[in-house]
Amino acid sequence: MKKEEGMVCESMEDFIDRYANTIYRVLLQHMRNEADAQDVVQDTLIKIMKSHPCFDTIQKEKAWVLRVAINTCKDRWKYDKLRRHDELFDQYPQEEQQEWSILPYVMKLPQKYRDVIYLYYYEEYSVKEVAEILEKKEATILTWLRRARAKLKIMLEGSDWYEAL
Amino acid sequence: MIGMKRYKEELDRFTLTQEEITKLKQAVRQESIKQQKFIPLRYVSYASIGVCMLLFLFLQMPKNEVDNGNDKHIVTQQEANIKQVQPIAYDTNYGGFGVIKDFEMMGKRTGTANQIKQLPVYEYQRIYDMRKGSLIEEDPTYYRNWMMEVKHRLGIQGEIQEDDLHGFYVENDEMKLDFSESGDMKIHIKKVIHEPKINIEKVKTIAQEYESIYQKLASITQPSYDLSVNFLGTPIVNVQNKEDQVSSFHVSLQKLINTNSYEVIITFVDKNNLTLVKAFDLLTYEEAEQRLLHGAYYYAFASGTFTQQDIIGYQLTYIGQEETSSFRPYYLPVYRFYVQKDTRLEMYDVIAVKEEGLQQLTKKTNWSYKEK
Repeated sequence: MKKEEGMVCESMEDFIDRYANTIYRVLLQHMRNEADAQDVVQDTLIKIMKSHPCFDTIQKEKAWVLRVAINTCKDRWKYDKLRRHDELFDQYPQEEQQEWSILPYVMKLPQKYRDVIYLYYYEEYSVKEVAEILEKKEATILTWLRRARAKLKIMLEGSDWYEAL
Repeated sequence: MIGMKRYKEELDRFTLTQEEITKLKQAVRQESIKQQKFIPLRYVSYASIGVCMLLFLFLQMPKNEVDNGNDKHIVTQQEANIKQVQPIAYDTNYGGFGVIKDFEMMGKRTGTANQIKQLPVYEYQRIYDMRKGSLIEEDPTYYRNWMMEVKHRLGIQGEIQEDDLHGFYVENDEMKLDFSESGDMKIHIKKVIHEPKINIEKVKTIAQEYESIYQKLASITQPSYDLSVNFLGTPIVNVQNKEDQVSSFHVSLQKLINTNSYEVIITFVDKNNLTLVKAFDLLTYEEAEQRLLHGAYYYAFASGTFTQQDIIGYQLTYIGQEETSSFRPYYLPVYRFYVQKDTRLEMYDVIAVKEEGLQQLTKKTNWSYKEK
């Protein structure tokens, strides 16, 4: 890591403590499967270790980390035909599958919508920040958010059996 | 937005353990040491990787080779008749649990598929990729024109409207037309069905009420109604002309929330999106069942623990790209085996095309299974 004065520049171990779970969750919602997400966490951290720049704020550093994680996922999609059986749903204890639950519905959205939902609702970034992280126009992010909400709304208002979709 | 707090709470449950984080640190540390101390070796590594990739590509050519990842032999479809292999999980857009809740279990099924010796395989012109989103966005002019034609044939007077979710829709008092993401047209019938309990025979009876639609849109004069169940356990009635080999319509019911009422949805398949490759010889039911019992099947949500006695029926059917992208760009027939596990109905699919045929489908090369 290149250290510059006044910049956030921590050891890789501290960095992993700070971001491992953040990276894991963004990958989880991206890959929809715990085993694949865990694989890509390591790939992402190694990529970060090789080129980790220092940032003037934690916020900028985190945004960069998320971008690297999402791009690593995209690379993985391109080169690896992953087992995309939605094992994430299997992680729920059986009785909890009966509860009203939104995560399975979010996981059913197309990947670009899941990324937007995650960054906007989970990480609570603004539309502008989401646009910067995903390297898209703000208008595109707004459209994706609107469509993602509409799709979720329809799924959540569906029947008992379609609720399982 | 309602529910997003819950989304955060649910996602928060997924955390790495301290042990996993420690392993990650070790892996990164080791990689860092490699970077610092063995930089010259990197070039050797790159060369080794290159050689390995060439070797791997070379080894892909014959049928029986070793997968360097797990040292398990790749076996062909035919070999799967005698070797125990690893099943393949479908790449599917569905995230459901596959349980029939409000529907009576299908009765014991007796397949008649052995009468069919050959079936055509088609190739999709427009490929639906769930990660990229709707096909309608990719070619809106095509879908608008198609909706215009259907609207005209069904005598719907309203104007076609744009819609973020479905691309386009048009409706009158009787029905609403829109699209699925994979490019098939959905006809939503506004007359609601009130039933305390629905079984698949009831869905068939309902499907028969809409013969005029099948005739107007696909010139179906002698409809046949084929009963099936999708990955989610949803009963589907496939409608086609008796002599046709591929369905033109799929009829299903969607339950309206907090009621015993259902909306009828008729899916009009976009057959213009299918180009015939050719007809291929098929496995017999017995051959397919042997492969099933040796693990040579695709599954979406299933336990994988069953015996021959648990098989309650089978059918020869096609798997579309709305259900899975595993076979794309091909639209091909599979034997779908129905397995009853307590109150759960599970489905296992065995590709019905014989090995010689699969070898001619060169755009997809991953038909083989790994030996257990």
